[in-house]
Amino acid sequence: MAATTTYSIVSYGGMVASEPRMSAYAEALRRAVTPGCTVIDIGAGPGVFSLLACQYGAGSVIAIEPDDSVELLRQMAKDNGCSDRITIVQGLSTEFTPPSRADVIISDIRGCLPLFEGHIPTIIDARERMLAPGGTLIPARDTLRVALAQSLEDYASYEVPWARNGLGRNLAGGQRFAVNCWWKVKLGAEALLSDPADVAVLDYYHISNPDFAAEAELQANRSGTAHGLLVWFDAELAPGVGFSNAPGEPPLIYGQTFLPLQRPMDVSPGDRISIELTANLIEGSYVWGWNTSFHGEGKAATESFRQSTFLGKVMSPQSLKSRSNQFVPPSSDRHAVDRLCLSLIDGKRSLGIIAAELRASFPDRFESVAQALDHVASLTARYR
Amino acid sequence: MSDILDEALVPSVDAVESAVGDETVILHLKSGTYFGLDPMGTRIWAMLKAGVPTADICKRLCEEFDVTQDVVEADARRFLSELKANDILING
Repeated sequence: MAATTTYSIVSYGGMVASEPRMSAYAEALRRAVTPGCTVIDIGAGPGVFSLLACQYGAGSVIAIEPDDSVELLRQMAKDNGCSDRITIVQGLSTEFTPPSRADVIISDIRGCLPLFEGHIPTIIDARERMLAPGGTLIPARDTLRVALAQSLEDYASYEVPWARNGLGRNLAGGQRFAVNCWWKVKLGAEALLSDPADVAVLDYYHISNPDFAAEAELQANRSGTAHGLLVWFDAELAPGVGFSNAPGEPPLIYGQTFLPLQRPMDVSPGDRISIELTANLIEGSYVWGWNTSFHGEGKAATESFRQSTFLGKVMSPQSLKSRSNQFVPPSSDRHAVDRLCLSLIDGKRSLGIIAAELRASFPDRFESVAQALDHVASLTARYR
Repeated sequence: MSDILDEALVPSVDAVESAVGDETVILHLKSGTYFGLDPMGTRIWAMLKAGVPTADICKRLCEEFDVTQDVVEADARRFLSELKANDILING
């Protein structure tokens, strides 16, 4: 089962209040909805898009959301007199088949970037299985852009704790991991040291691969110290309707992605920076890679870095080995507990009955039936 | 049948590695598969990255790990074949 990020009610409120994002989504939806049409709202959260679709005249809406926020959606559908038109599906869209294909599919399950968790596979699946011929996808496409950025303040979080902490202890070992982690930022246009380069157009009507690889060349347009690459996306929800996360635009909930350099680099106008960006979806999360080569004007590369979020994970050798294909997992009591637990789930036994049997079979592991019940409930929730 | 020790092999650009202590884990970005390398595998990997010809790797391992040529060659063939079969190594 794929893991999905869940959001607090405050986060959902932030999405609703994020302008011009919300008004752009509303306008795209208003244009797409025709009287009586069918709409699927993927990652519906509390259902704001679903409610708007009803307001614009949709005949039926299927709101799909794995999180318990669907309960709020249910309440708000009632509050807005839409209960009879909104069908709520608690789960993943990839595990759901609608009774018929939809005229409109709307979603915003991006993270800081559209290359986030299962976003793209989910859109591909929805387009192939759920969208009627000639139907509308919202968003239609996102464009990824990258530029060279100077941000001493953001780079400090990669450097100061490890290299300049003033504690008199050698913490330098942490920095090689830290500089391989991305960070969400909201920088202004003054942070840019180069013009942006477009590195990808994610056309949701045609995209078929969740992975991404691109090369680009940036050119410094002023002197400064480069601390990282700044990546953001501009969205086209419908023709002429969209929003931008570019530095200098009103900050939206998405922010921008800051990919730090292995070490800060001084640049002068005309310096060229060759970059290779990759993002590979592995086990539900993206592994980002960013290779950079700095060239003085008219010179060969003076410095090159190869960085990856894979290198930002601190894992023990044992943990690393346990993910390799040669690893033979040792059998343990924990497995035995879960084996028994899963074998008792037959659609007839209650959690209480399963917990009692678990407690009886593993009295050393569970001091009480309540403790066993907690374990069984957690385990079964993974398969909900 | 050709001997893999005679082949010119180089690490794939799709392979990223993380070293912890004297061991290494390689992640193949396209397949999403992890490979664990023990100290000898880590040493072979380092030599491959440094451009040491495959044929010379066994000679160096014999000296460094105090094992016989036959044993080293058998281990190296298994190791290189597995990495090549999984596209971690490609023909250079």
